[in-house]
Amino acid sequence: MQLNYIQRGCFKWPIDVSILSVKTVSLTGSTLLWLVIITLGLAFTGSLLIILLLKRRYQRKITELEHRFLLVQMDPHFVFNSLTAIQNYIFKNDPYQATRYFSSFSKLVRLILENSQKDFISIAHEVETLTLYLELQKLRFGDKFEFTITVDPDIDAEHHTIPPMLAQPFIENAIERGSVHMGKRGSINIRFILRGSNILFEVEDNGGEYPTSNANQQKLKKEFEAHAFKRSSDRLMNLRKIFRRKYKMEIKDLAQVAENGIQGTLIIFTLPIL
Amino acid sequence: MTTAVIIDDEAPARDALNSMLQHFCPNVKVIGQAHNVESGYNLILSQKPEVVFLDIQMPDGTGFDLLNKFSTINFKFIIVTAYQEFAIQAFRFSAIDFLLKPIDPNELIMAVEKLNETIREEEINQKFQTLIENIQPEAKAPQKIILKTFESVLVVNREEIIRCESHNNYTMFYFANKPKVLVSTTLKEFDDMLSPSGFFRTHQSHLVNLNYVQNYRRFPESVVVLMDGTTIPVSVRKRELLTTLLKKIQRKS
Repeated sequence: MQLNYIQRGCFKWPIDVSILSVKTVSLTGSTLLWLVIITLGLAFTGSLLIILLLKRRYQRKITELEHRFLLVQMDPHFVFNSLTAIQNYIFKNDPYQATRYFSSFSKLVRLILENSQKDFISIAHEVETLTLYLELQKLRFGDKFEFTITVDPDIDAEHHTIPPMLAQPFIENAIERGSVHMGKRGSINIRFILRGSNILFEVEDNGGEYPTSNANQQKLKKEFEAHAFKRSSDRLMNLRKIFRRKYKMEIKDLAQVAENGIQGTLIIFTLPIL
Repeated sequence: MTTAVIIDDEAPARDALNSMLQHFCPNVKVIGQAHNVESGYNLILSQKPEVVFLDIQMPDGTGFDLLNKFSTINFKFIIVTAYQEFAIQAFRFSAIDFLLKPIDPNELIMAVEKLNETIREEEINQKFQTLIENIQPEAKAPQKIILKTFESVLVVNREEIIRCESHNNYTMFYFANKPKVLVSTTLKEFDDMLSPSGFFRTHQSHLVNLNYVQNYRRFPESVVVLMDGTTIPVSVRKRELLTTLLKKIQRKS
């Protein structure tokens, strides 16, 4: 019924009230009370569900943001010491080396920025990032350490993807305050292995406990290790939450596993293929 | 000619500094280099340099550990570091000279020029002691601050300072427990140092410890009244910020 304009006067609207009146009659006493309770109950559960849903959505958003934040952290020691090494080539009047390392450094920064935008990158991409990073580190530490990166022939490096830079904190640790200072020549071996529906990403170094009586230094080293562990495990936890897959990390002290005096640490990431 | 040694675990960093000194500071002669705490300590003992360029993070300890090995430090030192967020605040408070890597030539030149000032051995040790105290991990923010007056060097607790007042390029310090002193540093530098830990620049020439503020009076003039009754002007642009800061402090206490 629509009234576009109202004329002066008296109107009569015949309305059939028989249906309404029947209902009103039955809605008395306890029935009415129940109806109100049920309606209120429904409204309450409904809004609760909506709130929960929204909360979960935001929680997920936060997890994702956290995830990106954890990824983009670059060790400032690495950044500034690499720049110092480049500065050295400039002063040595070696423009070719300076330019070479300068562009490697730029490439690495670009890759890391790119990686931070993505949840997964190809193994080829990860290998490129690691190689650039380790080569720049060699510029600082000279021949104090060597590294190898091997990719299982069963892996299609262009198509198999993994979360970017998972092992970064551990590799950083091994170089900045681990194997390279042990007197013996340090080594870092990185392997990508296909095992069933998982990719194993292994990082092995030959660094050992510091033969130092300096309690402060020992404490500092422990702190860095704990920090690296936390950075990686936080990321894995977030990955599990977002993608609902079993991402795992294991750390093995090689001195305890092997008897023949081998020292070092082996870190194994188990990454389900998506 | 000033004799110097460089102690840093990374060869490129030592080389870069060495080349830069040759280039920009020809009156500094590098007479030796070392790559860790142990060899650095021996180098200083054998070569007796006038100045030591010292890295903090080294494989067998820190630059502070090295300095701690000497019962008294009878050489000048300049800390050279890539990144030591926690320490930089402490360096400023303890008036320790430091350079950040990669080294800026201008900063290097300035640091080397400062070496020409005659400094008593006692003063160097006092600064280092203050640094060690400030750098303790339990201390959230540096507690002690080094102040240079005309005749001496003072170590004071941050909480003892009521306020600072600018006198051209000098700063007058007012304390809760001792007479005022005139310090030969600009107020701006103390503003940078102290503002993160409870001080407020109410006015171009006044820096106030908010713990000593009794109230903030807006009429007839905009001033803060300190516990001892002194009134300090608050400039127009600072009024709003001061109000919010004081509210925050009240809520905490």
